[in-house]
Amino acid sequence: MSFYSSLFISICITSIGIMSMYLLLGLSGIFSMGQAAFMSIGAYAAGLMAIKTGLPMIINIPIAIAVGMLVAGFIAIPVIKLRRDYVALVTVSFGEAIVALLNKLTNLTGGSLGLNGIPRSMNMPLAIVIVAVCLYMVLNFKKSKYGRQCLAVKSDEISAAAMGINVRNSKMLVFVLAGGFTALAGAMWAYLTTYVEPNSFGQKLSVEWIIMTFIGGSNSLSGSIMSAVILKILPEILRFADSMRIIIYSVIVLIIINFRPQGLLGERELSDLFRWLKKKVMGSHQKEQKGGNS
Amino acid sequence: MKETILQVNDLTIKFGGITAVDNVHIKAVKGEITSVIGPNGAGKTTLFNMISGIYKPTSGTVQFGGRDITGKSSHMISREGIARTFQNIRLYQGLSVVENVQAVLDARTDYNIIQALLGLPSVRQKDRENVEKSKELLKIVGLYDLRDEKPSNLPYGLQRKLEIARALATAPKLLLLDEPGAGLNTKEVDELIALVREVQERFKMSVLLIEHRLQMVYSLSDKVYVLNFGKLLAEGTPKEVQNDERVVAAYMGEDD
Repeated sequence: MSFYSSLFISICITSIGIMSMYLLLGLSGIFSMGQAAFMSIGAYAAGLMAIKTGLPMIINIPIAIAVGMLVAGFIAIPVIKLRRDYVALVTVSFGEAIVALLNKLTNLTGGSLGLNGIPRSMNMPLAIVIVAVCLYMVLNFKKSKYGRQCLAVKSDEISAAAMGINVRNSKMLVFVLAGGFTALAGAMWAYLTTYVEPNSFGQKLSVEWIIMTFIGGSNSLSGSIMSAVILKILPEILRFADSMRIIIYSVIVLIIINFRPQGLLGERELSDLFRWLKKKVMGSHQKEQKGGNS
Repeated sequence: MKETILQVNDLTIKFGGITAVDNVHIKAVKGEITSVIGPNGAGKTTLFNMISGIYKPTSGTVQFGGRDITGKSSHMISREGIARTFQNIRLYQGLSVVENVQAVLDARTDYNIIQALLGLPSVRQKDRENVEKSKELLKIVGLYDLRDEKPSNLPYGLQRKLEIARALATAPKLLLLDEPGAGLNTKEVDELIALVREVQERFKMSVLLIEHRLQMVYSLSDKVYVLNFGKLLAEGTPKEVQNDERVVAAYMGEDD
């Protein structure tokens, strides 16, 4: 597999991870700081299935998603009862616990050596299809009653409940859904790299996703995905700078956070931006015409 | 024979050593406007918070339409048919004006998550119906033209009206209004009185009102309860309460 296609697929995978971050952070205000752990769960579930049973990817990926959603269901029980800062604590420790667990369960997971020999079944067309389906679903979710209820809960839990919205159910649903999306991303990763180890998806990745979501604007789906793509490509572009690369990367991130604390797109979506540009272009066009007449 | 819609019996809540509401009983008659007045810190909002399920009372019962709803969770009580507005306006800032109303209708719309994720036509149809219903409600309170604004861009008086529209979206039998006149000027209060009267007659609702502005209380209410330091001080028609010496003393304080 060429470097570019594998970079492209890894961008697709990150985009799916960012979609789950958008569901949690942007729509629901659930500050999950260990989301990458669900990627581990998805990757290990798919990898183990592939190695131990030899079943094809088409079966293993849905199983990985189901496992991710199941685990998310358990973690959601404390998460939906807690306030924002405590949610962050629970999810951080959950992320660390998963890494430790994968290291210790040597018989099942191969410990720190990781899982080897997963077939390389992921390819570019498939990744594009999966990303498109995920995006379609997340957009539908946002537009549906669930999306509005999540935003209502994020804005004000007390008045959401007083108007008949079941706050806990709404948080539970979004957490499980995000767990499923992230597990899918993990399974795709396993089938791309053929190899997973406990530290592949640690705290560092969770934090990277949070950075990506905030830089694009946590309230904007297209903004978050856009920044995921940019921040994923950026290190490759900066390769010429060698050891300076991480510094340049950090400086760019800091500059953006400093001058656009609400994120690149804020609350707007890319489609709004196009509409605004169109209006601007049309507007100036009309002005010119008027100027010509007088 | 007048039918009772809400009956609050011997309701008490203690926060640590403080008894915020002490053995209060209140009765709201169906189709009428009942008011609760009292000085600051008298426990009016706490009483509302217990009726709407935000606080669980230490003792006592709340009966609504003949059913015991004491200690039920907030969203269940909303589904029983009690809607409320808040003293310190609590709109959904992340949503537009029309979506604020729509989100409330959404809680009563039945399609499941799979249908929603797939974006089925039936889902879109139901969403469109809810948008239309929301627009109707916005027309009633006079916010139709501002439906795409963010709530934070509206002046205070209009935010109050949006809260009322949102409460109406729950199709309530009883509407709890928590100081709807707070922070409004005289003109806005008059508009609000007219609006409360209109919706009450139009939807055949009962209203329980907390208010500081006696002007509003006396012109709207059928019955008035007076709270002071968490205890019930007096009850009666606006006229009776107005002439009650204890009420005057509690309300006007040392002025007299």
